[in-house]
Amino acid sequence: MASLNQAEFENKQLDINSLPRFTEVEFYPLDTKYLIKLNILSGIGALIVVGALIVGYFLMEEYKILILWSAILFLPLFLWLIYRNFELQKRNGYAIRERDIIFKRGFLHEKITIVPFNRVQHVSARKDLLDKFLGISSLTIFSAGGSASDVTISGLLARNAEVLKEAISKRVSSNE
Amino acid sequence: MNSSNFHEPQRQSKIGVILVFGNSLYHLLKNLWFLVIYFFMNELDSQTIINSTIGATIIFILAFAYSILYFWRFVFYIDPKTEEFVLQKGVINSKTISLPFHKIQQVNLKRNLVQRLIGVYSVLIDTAGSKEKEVEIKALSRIKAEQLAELLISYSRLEENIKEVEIEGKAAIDWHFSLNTFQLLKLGLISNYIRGLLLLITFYITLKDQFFLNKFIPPEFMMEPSLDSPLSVWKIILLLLAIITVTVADTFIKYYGLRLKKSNSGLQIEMGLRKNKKVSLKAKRVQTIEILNNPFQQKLDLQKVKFFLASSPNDPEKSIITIPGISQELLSKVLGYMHVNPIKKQLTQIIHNKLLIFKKISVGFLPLLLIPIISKFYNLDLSLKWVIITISIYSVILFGYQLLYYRSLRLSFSEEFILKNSGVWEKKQQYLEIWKLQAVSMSQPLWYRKKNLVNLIFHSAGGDVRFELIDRNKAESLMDYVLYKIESTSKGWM
Repeated sequence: MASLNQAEFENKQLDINSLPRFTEVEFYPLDTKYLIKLNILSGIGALIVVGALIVGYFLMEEYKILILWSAILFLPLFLWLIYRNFELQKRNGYAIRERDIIFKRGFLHEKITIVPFNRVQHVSARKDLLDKFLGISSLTIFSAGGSASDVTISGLLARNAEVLKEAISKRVSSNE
Repeated sequence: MNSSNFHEPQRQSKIGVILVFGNSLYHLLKNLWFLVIYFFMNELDSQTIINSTIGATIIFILAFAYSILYFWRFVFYIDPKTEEFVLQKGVINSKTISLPFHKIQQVNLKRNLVQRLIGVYSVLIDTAGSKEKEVEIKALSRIKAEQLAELLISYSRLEENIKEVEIEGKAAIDWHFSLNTFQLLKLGLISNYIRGLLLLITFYITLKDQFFLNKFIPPEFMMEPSLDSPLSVWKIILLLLAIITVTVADTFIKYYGLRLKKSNSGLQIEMGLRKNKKVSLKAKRVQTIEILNNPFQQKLDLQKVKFFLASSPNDPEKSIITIPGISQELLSKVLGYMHVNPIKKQLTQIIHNKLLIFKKISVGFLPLLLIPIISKFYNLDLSLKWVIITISIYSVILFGYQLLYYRSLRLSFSEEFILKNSGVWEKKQQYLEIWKLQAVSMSQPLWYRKKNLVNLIFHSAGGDVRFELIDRNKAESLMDYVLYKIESTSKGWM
């Protein structure tokens, strides 16, 4: 290791402007099936809330007005959630460069995380019940930087997820 | 020096039985101590005394038998064929742990007070990625411990490590440093009393919970915060003294016998009264360095340094090494060992947007919203005059603090390091070695978009460092540079 260090030691001047820019990449969007999944989830959530409200309306006499008001307030919230789902599908995306993977997510609070392949610990693909039904899966890329730096790309076509996993694994191991 | 054959199954030093016995007694006592006290607090008739003595004796004998069995069944050896270190233990359920050599990260020697008394060492084997994160062999004579450590290290081919665990006499010492009792006392006096206060409160609550305190302690000593009997000056002074004593004692327990030694084989750190910890710090494992000093520490020339080592996120405690007080001169030597040589001129600075002050101040005002809620909840009749006075004092302090905080906040970077300065009273410098970083993130809430501002987060294996409200273009080019640095190196980050 020590000899390697010396061989590597050089100190060339660097032109900052000539560095590859991550902002120039083109992001792959997530599959439209992801939008279906998000909407189904929001729908189920809404059904549970509405169900609870209906039960409450008939069982608790003294809170009737309060429950009516919450139902009225819930409608715009639900519409907002659906709108957000559309935006998320449009905005979330990933890009792969030779040496790293870039993942962009979020609508109100956008976040871009870049994980270099030579820092990736392992990659795992996962499917939950809905994913199996829709034929999509999510890919998680783990690094040693803690949970904040782990990247989970959900809503990939199952086939693409496998290809992506292979590609990343290959790049990770070629770095070692 | 008769060389032990670690390829044959080995047991610990015989005296280790005492350690196991002591340990099981300690655990028994720890769980049952309030029973003991409760026992003494009640009136005793002869029958209970006889019964409990018999009971105690049986427990004692059982514990001793258990200790001997435990000792007897605790066997370890090195298996060169499968390239593993094997440890078998367990009295009722036996358990075999095999550590493949290549998983071994570090081998350390350690001893606590009891181990010191009976003259044995612990050998700690750190592994990465396996389920058993750490394996400890608690009672080995010094010679055996050192032999085992050396053998394990040579098998695990951690070539850099071999030198570090060399027997002390061999390595030429470049410099060393130790903290004497007086300095430790000073450190205790100037350290943060909040921790001492918290310790005292925890102690008080445990005591109160475990057995009904007012039964044994006359009610005069209870600190009832009743409004009609104001705390006397003496009580306050007594409380302050207690806090100071606890803080100083805490400092002594944690850092007693602090010693730093730099030899040609690396940096060794040793400290602690109850648990004597001895670590050899490899520059390679250090991910983040934090230097803290408040004006007192500055004056005494004793700055605090924290090293964040690479670890799994589940075990954050173990991965921080704190050196409570070293001089500026020594600090630069330690940093030199870590290759941190930031020459101020080389640093490029990025200034946080001034909006950050407003953001922090508005967040700081949020707790004020609680005032109406609390006053309604408790039916307090607050006079408007007092509310206005409190709020204005609070605002002045908040404004002043946030302004000073903003002024102290700085992001700078050189070719090799990112440096974050922050802190009003206690100044904090965080150094991140760029090529060791794991990932970078940039986040932007919708309302920053127009101003072209972002938050920048660097993820290192020793924790995250955030910079808020930074110009987007500058953040992007810094990210590009960081990625270039990480991706162009083939060195291992750990």
